[in-house]
Amino acid sequence: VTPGEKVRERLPRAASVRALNVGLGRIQNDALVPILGPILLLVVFAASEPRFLSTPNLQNMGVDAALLMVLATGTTYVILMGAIDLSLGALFGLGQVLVAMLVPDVGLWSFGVAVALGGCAGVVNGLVHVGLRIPSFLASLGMAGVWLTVALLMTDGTNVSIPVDDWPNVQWVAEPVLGVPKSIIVAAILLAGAIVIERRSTLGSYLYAIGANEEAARVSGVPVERYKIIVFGLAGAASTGGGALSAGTVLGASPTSGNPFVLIAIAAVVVGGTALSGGIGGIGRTVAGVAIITILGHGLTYLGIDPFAQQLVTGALVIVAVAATMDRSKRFVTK
Amino acid sequence: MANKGVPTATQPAGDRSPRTAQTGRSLGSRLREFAPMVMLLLTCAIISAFEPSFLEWTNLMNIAEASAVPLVVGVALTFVVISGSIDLSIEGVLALCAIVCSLLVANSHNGMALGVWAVVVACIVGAAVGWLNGVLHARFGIPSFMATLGVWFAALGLAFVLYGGQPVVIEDKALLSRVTGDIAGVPVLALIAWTVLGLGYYVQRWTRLGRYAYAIGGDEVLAETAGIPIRRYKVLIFAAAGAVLGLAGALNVLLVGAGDTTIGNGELFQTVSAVVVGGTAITGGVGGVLNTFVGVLLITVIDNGMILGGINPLIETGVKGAVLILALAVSLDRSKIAVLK
Repeated sequence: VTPGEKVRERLPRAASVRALNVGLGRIQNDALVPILGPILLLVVFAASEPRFLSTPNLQNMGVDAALLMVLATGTTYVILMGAIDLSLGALFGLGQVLVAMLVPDVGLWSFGVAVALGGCAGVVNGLVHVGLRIPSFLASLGMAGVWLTVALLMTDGTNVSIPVDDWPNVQWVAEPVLGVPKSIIVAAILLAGAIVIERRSTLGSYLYAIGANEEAARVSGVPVERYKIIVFGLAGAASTGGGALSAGTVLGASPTSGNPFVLIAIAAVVVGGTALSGGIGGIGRTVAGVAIITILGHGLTYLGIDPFAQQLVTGALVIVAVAATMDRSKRFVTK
Repeated sequence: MANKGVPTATQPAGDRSPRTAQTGRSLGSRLREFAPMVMLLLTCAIISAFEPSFLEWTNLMNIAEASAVPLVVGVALTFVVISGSIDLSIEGVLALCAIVCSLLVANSHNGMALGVWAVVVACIVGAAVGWLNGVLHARFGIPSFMATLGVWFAALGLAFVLYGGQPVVIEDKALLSRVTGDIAGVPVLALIAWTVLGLGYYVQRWTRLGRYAYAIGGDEVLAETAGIPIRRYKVLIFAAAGAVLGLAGALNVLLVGAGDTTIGNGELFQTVSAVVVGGTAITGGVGGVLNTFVGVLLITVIDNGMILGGINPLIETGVKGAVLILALAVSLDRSKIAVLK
C-alpha cells in the first residue's frame, strides 16, 4: 500500500464525517443525551427545591452560563480541530487583570484591549505549538505559566479591586436590557457568530477537516498550520474576553482566578458531545454542555455541596464523556 | 556495521556513507545526553560567580532539601513518561494524599494518631488513584492526558470534601522533627528522596516493570506484538507512580506542618519541566530517573539563584514555563509524532 493509496482510503471517511455533522444529520441518537440532559437536571433539582426555578436563580444561572459559553466557544473550536488549550485559565486571569488595571485610564476600551491582547497571546500559543512542533497540551501548559506570570507581574502578585469611580465603566455587563443582563446578550451574539463561522465559512469546514484527519486535510490543500494558529488566536481572545466579562461582575481581578475554568470549559465541550479526538461535534453541542454544567453546578450548590468539592463531580463527568465520545478507530495508540 | 554502503530497505540508496552518518548521529546524541548535566554545571558556575554564598554548605543543603519533594514527584512521573504517557493528576494526588496523611497523624481536626503509618496509608491512597488513572487510560482507551486531567480535579474535589475548609495542623511534633531534622548535617528529607531515587534506578534498570516501560514507550505496537501485556503494565506503572506520589504528598505535608488543598499547586509544572529538561523524552522510551535528578537539581538551582540574586519571585512560573517550552523544542523526537495534536 503506497502512502497515496492510504490517503485516498481515508479521504471518503473525512468527507462522511463532515456530512454527518452538517444539516439534518446532526440530530441523531447520540445527540439525545445533550438535549435531554439539561431538561432532566432542571426537573430533578426543581422537584427537590422549588426555589431553583425562581427568577433570581434563573438569572444567576444565565449569567454564569453566558460566561462559560464565551470560554467554551473558543475551546470547542480548538477541540474540534483535535487539539487542546490548557492556557485558558491563565488567559482568563490575564483578561480580568487587564480590565481592572486599564479601566481607570481607558474606560470601556479596556475590554477591547483585553480581547485583542488575548488574541495575540493565543496566536503565540499557536505559533509555539505549530512552529516548534510541540503537542498542544504541552505547548499550552508551558505558555500558561508565561501568561500567568504576565498577569502576576501586572498586579505585583496581589488581587486588585476596581476603583469605585470606574464601576460605571465595567458594570454594564450586569445591566439588564428587557430583564436580560448584557453579558448574556454578548454571549448570545458571540454564539450566533460562532455558529455562522462553523457552518458557513471556510474556517468552519477546515476545522472539521483538520480534526477528522489532519494528514488528509493537508494533502487536500488545507493550510493546516495557518488555520491552527488562527483558531488558537480565537481561543485566546475568548479566554481573555471571558475574564474581562467576569471582571465586571466581581469588580476586581485576581491573576489565578481562571484556574477552575480550564476543566469546566473542557467539561462543557466534551459533555455536550464534541469528541476529544477531533472532527465530531460543534458549537450547538456545546450549548447543551454549558447548560448541563451550569445547572448541575447550581443544583449541587443548592443541595449544599461546596463549589470546590464539586470538582469531584465535574472531573468524573469529563472522564465519562470523553470515554463515551472518543473515536477510537482513529488512533491505535493512545498516548 | 555489516552492510557497509549496501542499500537496504531502511537505508536510501543515495546515502553513500552510512558509517559517517551513523557516527555523526551518535556524536550528536551523545552530546545531547550530557547537555542537561553541562547546563546544570554551567548554571551553578554562573550563579556562584555572582553569589559566592551559593557554594556554602548551608546553601547546598538548602538546595538538597528544597529539591527533595520535587525529586520524589519527578521519579514517579519519569516512569509514566518513559512509557509514553503523561500524568497531569500530580497536583490533585499530592493534595489528596497530603490531606489523608495530615488527618491520620495527631492533628487539629480529629483524634487519630497513626504516626508513620499515616504515610503508608497516603501511599496506598496514591496507588489507588494511580491505578484509576491507569485503568481509565489503558482499559478505556482515553488519552492519558485527558484521563489524568479529569482525575486531577476529582482528587482535588475529594481532598476538599475531606478537609472541610480549614487547614489541618499536624500536632505530632516527634514525627515532624524527625522528617525536618538532619543526620550528619544532611537533611533527612533529602536522604529519603535519594533513597527513592536509588529504588527508582533499581526498578528502571533491573526489573521487568522498568524494562517494559521502555519497551512500551519506545514502540507500543511493537511491544504488544512482542508479547508484552502492555495494558497490565501501563496500569502497574500508573499505580506505582501514584504510590510514590502518595509518599511525596506525605513528605510535603510533614515539611509544611499543615495539610491544605493548595499544597500541590505548581508541582505539575515544575515536575514536567524537570523531567523534560533532564532529557527524558516526552514521546517515551528515552531517559530515566538519573536524568530527572539532574533536571530537578537544575530547576531548584535556578530557583535558588533567583532568590540569592534578589530577582522578583513572581517570574518563577514564567521562567519554568519558558524552560519547559525550550527543553521540549530542543529535545522532542518529531519522527515519533505522526500527527501533531
